[in-house]
Amino acid sequence: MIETRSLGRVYRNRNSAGQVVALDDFTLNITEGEVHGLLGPNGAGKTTLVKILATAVLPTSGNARVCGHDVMAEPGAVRALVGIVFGGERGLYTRLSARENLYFWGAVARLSRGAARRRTTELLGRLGLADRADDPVERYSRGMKQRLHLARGLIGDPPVLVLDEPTVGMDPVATRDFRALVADLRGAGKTILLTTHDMAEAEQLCDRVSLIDKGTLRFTEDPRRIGVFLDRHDAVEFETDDEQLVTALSGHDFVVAVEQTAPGRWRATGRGAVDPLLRWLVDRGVTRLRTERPTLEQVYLHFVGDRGLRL
Amino acid sequence: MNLEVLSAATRMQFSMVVRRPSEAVALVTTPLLSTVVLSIVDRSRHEELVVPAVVGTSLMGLWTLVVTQVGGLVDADRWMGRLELLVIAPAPLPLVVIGRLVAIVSVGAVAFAEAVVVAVVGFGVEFTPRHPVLFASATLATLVAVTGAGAVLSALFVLSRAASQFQAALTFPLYVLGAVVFPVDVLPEWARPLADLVFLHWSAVLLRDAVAAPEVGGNAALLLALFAFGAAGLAAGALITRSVEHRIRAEGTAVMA
Repeated sequence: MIETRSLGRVYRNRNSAGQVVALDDFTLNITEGEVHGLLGPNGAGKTTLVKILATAVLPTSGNARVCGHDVMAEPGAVRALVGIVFGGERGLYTRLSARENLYFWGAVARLSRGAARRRTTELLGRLGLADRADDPVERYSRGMKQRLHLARGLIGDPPVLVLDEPTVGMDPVATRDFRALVADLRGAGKTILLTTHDMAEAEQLCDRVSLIDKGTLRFTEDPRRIGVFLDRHDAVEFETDDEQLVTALSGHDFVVAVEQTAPGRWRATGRGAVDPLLRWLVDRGVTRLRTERPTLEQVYLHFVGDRGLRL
Repeated sequence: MNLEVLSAATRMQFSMVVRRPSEAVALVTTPLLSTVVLSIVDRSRHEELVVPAVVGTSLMGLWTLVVTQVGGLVDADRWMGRLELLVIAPAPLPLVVIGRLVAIVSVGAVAFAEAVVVAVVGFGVEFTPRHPVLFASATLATLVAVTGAGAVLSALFVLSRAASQFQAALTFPLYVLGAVVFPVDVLPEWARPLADLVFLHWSAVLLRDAVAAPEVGGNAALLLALFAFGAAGLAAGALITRSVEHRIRAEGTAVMA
């Protein structure tokens, strides 16, 4: 459904004679009906990829196809197939009502007047905006605006949706509702590319996730199997008040580190498989314990590193 | 299908003006400007300047509204992230721009009419065109020409990140150099040829003649030129917009984010 082959994009640096590589040799396949998460720190190249797929930016090398249409050679065909949803306040006519916005964007999506009206009514109901459909958008809450963004992206009923950090700045309730809507869209067979910083969101919604950093693809994997990248980070959480036992455990080869997480609670990170670690603890009477796979966040931090605010 | 896009863009722009009429501030300033200009003409007792003053303030109201609205809509769309979405939408951007211009020029036509109403009601001016067909044709040609000029401006404003700063330069200097309010012979001799380069001057000449000239036989060429200017402006605006779109994609200087 979405294919990129050795995709690259280089920007000229306006402040110097140099260039900035935003995307480098990026190859990715997203199948029909898949929800694909794109993770990466700020400046990793996520937005550049989104803009290339949306035909807003041309690649400088490689190629990208959406439903078989080349984004460079057939931008018109691609535009009819892709709905873009950005996060935040931007992209709406806030003086107008949701209904007026959708009528307009429906026409811009090449719907006839009647079709735009039918689709608007359908989407306003489906996204829970029907009761406020004629209020100016500037009076909407953040969550309502984001639902309207999604409606705008869906107005032309495109088979592919690109959601660019759609839940940024939303409160937890609005975020939960929005994720439920995305799950519904997956159920409806839409192919979705979701860029996000939110690991829980990626784990909850995505069939696969790709990590992008400094313009290159680091890996693509099912978020529930992502721990295979970090076997050595498998950990055991256990409870004991015996600090001598903890000291003894720390000295073993099969342990990378032991840290205290709370009074009487410890977290031991194993080197490779955790079987010897578990056996050692059980043999010494520690029975309140559980194993823990690394989370997507830990994998992310492992690959990207704790870079703070640096890009 | 193109008509659907045009009419949707027109309706949307009308709704925007209705929701915030303050943006059409020229509808308020035009009667005031007409009052000032006509008061000066009235005091000067130069009756031959009355028709040029009425026609001129009408054109000023129309053009001021169009220039401020076009600059404003491009700036607002850019900073609100809508321009990006319009660039990557299935409908061609020039169609959306022209549809919105139709609404803007229609509102501008109200300013055009206001100046006439002020002259008739406030100053007792008899403003009955001697040549109504020419007057109607010249008015239509003026609206087409203003739409075409607006299309070029909006495309150029997309390129500029400071569109609003150009607006001032496109109003009063143009009115003076184009001899829009007063006859061209009021200008210094060296500046008179410049007036011929300003399309609003062509409109002013046609409308003045339609109202007051005894004979108007020689105006057909000017009328055609005004229509042609509008058509050329629409075509050029569409071409420039397309080329701007391509430049944005190629350079990655996305108008947004």
